[in-house]
Amino acid sequence: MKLALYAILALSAFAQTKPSPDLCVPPPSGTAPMLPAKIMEGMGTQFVHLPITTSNPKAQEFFDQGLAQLHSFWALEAERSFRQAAELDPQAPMPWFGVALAAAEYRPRFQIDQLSEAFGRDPRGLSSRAAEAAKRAQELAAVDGKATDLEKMYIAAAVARRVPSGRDVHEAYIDALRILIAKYPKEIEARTFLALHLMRGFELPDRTPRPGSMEAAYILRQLMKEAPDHPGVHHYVIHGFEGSTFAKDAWHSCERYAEVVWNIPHALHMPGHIYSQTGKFLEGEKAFASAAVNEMGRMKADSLYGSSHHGHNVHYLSTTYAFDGKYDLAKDAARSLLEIAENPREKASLDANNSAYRQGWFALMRALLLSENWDEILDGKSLPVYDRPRENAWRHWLTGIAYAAKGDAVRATEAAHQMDAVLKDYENVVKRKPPVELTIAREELKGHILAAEGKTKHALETLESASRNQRKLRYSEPPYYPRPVSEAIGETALRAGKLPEAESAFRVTLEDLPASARSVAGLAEVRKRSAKATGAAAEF
Amino acid sequence: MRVWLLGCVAILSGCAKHYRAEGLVLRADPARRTVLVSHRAIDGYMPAMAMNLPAGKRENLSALSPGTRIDFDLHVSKTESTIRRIRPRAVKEEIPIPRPANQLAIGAAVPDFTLTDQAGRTVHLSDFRGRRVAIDFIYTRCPLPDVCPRLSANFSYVARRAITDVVLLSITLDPVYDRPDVLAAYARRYQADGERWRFLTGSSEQIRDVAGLFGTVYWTEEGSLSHTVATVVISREGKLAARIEGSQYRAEQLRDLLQSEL
Repeated sequence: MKLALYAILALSAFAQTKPSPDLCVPPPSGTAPMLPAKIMEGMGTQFVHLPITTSNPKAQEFFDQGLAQLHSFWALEAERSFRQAAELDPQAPMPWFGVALAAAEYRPRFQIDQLSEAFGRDPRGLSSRAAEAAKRAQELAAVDGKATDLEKMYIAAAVARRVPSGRDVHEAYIDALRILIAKYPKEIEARTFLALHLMRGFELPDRTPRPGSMEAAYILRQLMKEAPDHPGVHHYVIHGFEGSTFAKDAWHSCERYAEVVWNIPHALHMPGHIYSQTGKFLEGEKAFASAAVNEMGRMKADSLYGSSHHGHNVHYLSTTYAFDGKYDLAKDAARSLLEIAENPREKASLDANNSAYRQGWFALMRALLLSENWDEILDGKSLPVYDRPRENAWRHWLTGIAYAAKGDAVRATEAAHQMDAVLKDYENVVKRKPPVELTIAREELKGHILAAEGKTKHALETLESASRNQRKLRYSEPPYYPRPVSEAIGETALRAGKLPEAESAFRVTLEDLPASARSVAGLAEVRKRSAKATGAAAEF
Repeated sequence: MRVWLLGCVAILSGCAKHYRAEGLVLRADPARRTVLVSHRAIDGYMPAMAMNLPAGKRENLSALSPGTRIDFDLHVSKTESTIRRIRPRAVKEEIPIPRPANQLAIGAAVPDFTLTDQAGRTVHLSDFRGRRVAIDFIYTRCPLPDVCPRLSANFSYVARRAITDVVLLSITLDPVYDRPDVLAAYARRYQADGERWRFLTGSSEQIRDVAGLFGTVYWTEEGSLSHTVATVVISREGKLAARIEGSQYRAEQLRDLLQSEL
């Protein structure tokens, strides 16, 4: 694959430097994985240990490995390891506790909330496989001498989360963990589980913490002192701090996590989340590229290895390249995903944007937009037609933006009307309202058309409105809006010679997306023109 | 008048019995209006067996081909038994699955193909000309007891019956993992003799091409492989003679199919 080349290039380019949706989380296997599991290097297992009641030391070893893999969201291998532990000691209850967590949704709470909001379903992670495992753990733990009090409390938490009882499973799980921690306050594993389930993210644009998020951050800061090499702690710090005002506080975890867990694609990928939103694009590119190399190796070695996490990772790699101004790399990375054909299940989905192909399609759309090579966009060949409502709407939007940028308001308006037609029919086809980002995109397009018509004041007002709405969108990584609208405001204002407005807009963008190449360049241009106008160097 | 007619219907219907049954078509003969069917045990009437049954007047036999799984009513009167209300079992597809471009129709000549067996020997389909060849598609890591293990159990049953002039081929859908040594271990698990029942692998392209001939579609999901399920039989003349959809047929039905004249 072409991507391999780019990823390796990126890695070699940084070899001399200091090491440093939603499919961010690889899903659990659709079916129970086959045994045997094997002990694997680079999982971070040496820093994870939860003693279990077992007569077989090998069972403990596989249990700890499963736990380490679970902490890096490698559900498939974690479940395999836990099942191996169960095979080695069929009377031990804790391996089934592990299966109960690994065989269903296990991810940060804010992602669970987001999925629930976006898809109108409750992804509570109930699955018969996980529920049966939790019950089995409970039954085995009921045998005299087979489980300690602590183990029983862990199992009670898994039962609360995985076995429907009429209670909200999330609250029941949190309560069970709190009871455990009240009795065993030094228990590392329980506190990592609790932190992961308390983190509900931050409200944009002000990054205000939602209930639970600061408690999660507090727990994790404590754990960083008590368990400084624990892979789960570092992983959850990254998730718990991303999107916050203190995301930079996760830099240490970014470095340490990739060192401790150097052989799981998601662990190599995650530091990129923090780096790319804190202006460290180079480090982000390195993280995503190294994850891509690792993951492509796994895809090549195992024909059953899925491509969705790879799609997310390379989508993010492309996005980071694009924000960093490396447009050709961004396009090439995106195009590499277009080589991964959708399977029939993915093809059948009218509005799921999570296949590797569709993530590549969106990444390419974003890269084309940010490259501002309007002729390339308008040649009609650069972005393949993908006949689904979401992709059709974005394609018309991009076409409209390109025509408007070239000053052709008439054709831009035609594209806007085509986008309107898709949006009007969206609910009929998909049985769900169009995603809010497309509504905002339509407003942004209106602003660009007004600008093309020479109505600058009205254009800037419209773009301001779109920007306000876009900045309030729920946090997602990579952002599911192609680029900050404020950047478009800056460029529109700059073209109109409105330097203070341009400066203000670029500064807003750099708050939201530090080091964004287009805004850095835009701000430099403002400075140049201001200096020219005043005859003196302006200070920024 | 109406009362008299109703009375006649009641008397006539009282003379006949209806049994619901499920079976596998071994042969349908529209000209003679008969269906040879290997049916499962019919509760309260008869054990599982193969029967050649005259079809009711309304039955459309042209839709039936060897291997079609059907539900039907067995209508038993004093003078004859007939097969009625024949309903082919459609495999439910939760998503649309595109048919392979090279899929063969029943009766079509099967092109030769070359694969490698569990002993590392090169195998050509043409090696078996003059014998009937049953083919299924499996993968050794399949975790679903009702799919690949069931298909293999059915082949194992048939292999032990040593039906004359029949060769069984299990072709992997996971050729990257299922290399000859892996298939050899899998063959030992089912006590396959390595001659009457062989396990084949090849390059990904070869496997996709061969699977497509018989309408089998497969793809990778997260940690597993999704695939359509079919068992096919190639006649002595090298033509596609039968196709059984799904894995929920009985080993005895496959035996009957292979013992029938295809």
